Amino acid sequence: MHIDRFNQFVADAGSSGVVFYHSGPLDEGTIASIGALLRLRLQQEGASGAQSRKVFATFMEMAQNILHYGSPDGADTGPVAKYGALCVAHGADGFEVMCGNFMDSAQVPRVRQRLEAVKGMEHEHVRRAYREQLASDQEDPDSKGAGLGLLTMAASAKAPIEYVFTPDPPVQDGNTFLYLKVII
Amino acid sequence: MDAFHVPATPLTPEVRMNPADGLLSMRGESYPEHVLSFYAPILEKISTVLDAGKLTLLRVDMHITYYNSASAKAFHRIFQLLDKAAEKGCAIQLLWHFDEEDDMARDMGRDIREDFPSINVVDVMLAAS
Repeated sequence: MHIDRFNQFVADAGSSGVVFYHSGPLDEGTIASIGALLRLRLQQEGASGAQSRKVFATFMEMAQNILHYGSPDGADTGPVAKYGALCVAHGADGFEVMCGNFMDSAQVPRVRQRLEAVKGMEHEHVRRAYREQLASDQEDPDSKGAGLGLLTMAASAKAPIEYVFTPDPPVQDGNTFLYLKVII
Repeated sequence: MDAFHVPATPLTPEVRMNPADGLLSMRGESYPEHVLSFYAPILEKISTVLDAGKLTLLRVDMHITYYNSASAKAFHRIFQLLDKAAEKGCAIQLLWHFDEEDDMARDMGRDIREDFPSINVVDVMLAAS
């Protein structure tokens, strides 16, 4: 990277309100370190205790999704690490928590359906759905978090969760990038 | 009866059970990558102690400062075991600690009380840290 491009990168991050950004492989060790750093950054940015908790919880559900669903980035061989991008930024309406990761294109319709369902829920509905999922004994092999992760994000959010699949419609038999954005 | 102790890590809580003192405690944070593989052996140990049927009183001290949604699911399973034991005559008192700014944990305490009527749930609200 040319130093001028780095200069631009830093300036863009600043003008976009970026508080925290990580892109690369994720594992438990990385997440533990990121978690400690994120809490410190939120404190430095003057987040209230309640807001800080919600940002942290949303961020960690996103990280967990990447660990469980994120397809390896490109590489066909070698150790299967999970890759993803995670970001917390200041926005007009509060903190914005975002993530991006590759996922198996075959799962896109199911994930889209689930995202749409959660988007349309009022706060009380989110809470009810969360309780139902918690009590459910169903072990859906494709859903390690039983949809609880998305519901946790929705419960913390001020506005409906935003999402983008890239490309959309997805490439068959391949990977599709999924971005999520939650405002807190 | 079998006492056990699992030390805390940055992503998992300390879990301690001492049937002789009638005490089960969980302290710390809970967001491991593989939640079920962390909690499955703990569920089994708790189950073994409760199934022995010798306990008449158990105090459960839950002091988890952050838990992810998959951990909440694991807690729910622990509460199912406790509720069942309570129905069989072991008095269960659950001290549910939560930060005053943590709405979700506060709600969870209320949900536990509704979903598991045999457990005596005591809210312990902590001043914001």
